[in-house]
Amino acid sequence: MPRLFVALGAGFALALALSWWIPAMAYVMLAFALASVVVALAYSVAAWSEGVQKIVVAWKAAPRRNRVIFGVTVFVLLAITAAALSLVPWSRLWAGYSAMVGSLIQFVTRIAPRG
Amino acid sequence: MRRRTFLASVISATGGVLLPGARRFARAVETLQYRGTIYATPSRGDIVMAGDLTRLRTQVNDVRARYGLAAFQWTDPVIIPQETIIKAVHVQELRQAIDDVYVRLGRPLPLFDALGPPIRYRDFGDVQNAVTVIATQPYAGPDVVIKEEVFVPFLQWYVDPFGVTRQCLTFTGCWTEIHASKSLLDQIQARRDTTLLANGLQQRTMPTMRDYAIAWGIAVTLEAGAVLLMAGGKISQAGLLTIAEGLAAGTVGAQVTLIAGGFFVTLTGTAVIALGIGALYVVWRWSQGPQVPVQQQSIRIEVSPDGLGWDVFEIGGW
Repeated sequence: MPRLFVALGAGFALALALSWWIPAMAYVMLAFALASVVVALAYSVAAWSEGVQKIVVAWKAAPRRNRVIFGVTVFVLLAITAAALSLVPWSRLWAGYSAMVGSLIQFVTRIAPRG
Repeated sequence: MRRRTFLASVISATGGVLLPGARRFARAVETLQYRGTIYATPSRGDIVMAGDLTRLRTQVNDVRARYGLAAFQWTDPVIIPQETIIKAVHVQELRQAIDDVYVRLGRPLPLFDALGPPIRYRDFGDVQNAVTVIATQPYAGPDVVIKEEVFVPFLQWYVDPFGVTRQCLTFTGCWTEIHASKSLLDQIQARRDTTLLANGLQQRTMPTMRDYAIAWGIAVTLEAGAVLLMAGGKISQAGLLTIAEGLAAGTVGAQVTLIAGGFFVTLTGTAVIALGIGALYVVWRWSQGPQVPVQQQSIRIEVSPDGLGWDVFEIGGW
């Protein structure tokens, strides 16, 4: 039994000694996440930029027939995609999404209701 | 009223023996010595004084203003002690003025005794009671509805998208544009405890474990957004490279296949990027605190000035 108390006391002391980790970790995580977002944005832009550059290079090197086929194919695909996307009820999706986000925010920021 | 009751009780208790003078005095109070148009030897504290009438007029007009009624135009607007002659119309006007408020609120009219002569202290007391009933009630109806920026750091009740009534507390309170009656805003802002409540919330600067949990949630959400952005970027890149490959392909079949495949892969990557931006939007929205369309929802503000109970104000809803 004394060992149990010693263990409990040691655990409590350890938790107390390491309690500064909690805010520190929270701030480190926030900083890391913010940095990640910046990096991810830059990465995404860079990836797009590289792909578009490759397309431009290929366009310049391609013969006329390939350019025509490319133009026609992309035009048809864009038309199909636009037609498909126009069938999606965006406004209702947005309403549902913002309602979901709103209720999520309300949920995490509320205090316990008194009934 | 209280003076009269006290005197009457003392006189009845003593059988009028010990205080024969007081008995006459009480009768004089009862009839207020109103003869014709003049007070006979008014004595301070025993009869209706000029101050009583003036004070009652002020109270009545305050209540009228509270419910959006114009100030009553009194006969003899200035009552001069020992000079202005009290008239039945003074009491009638008081009754009319307070009746207007009752009508405005849709309440049953107060019952008044038939007016003298003589005019009695009780006539004033009845008006006073009618005023007190209204003045001590919580605000009960629409008056001058105005739009004003007010600080609302209090408890907010709202109905969430699932139809559940919830109560929430903003982190630090917020300046919000609301539609409410001027008198109600005055009533709220005049209360020191509401400000104290606001200050109490604003002074909560020491982070708590809950704040760390929130920081954790925000960090995780941001991280998810970052991952989605990177993944979407990578997917889009692959799609774009495939399109470039298709542009350079030798046969028509290979060209169309590669371009179409690359196109839809790029589209998928873009959708993933949109999801990442959505996660960032969640964090931004989170940082704005609870957004309640207060113009549409009624807000209940509860204050407990003395710890004896909660006063509830309601803003909005009309």
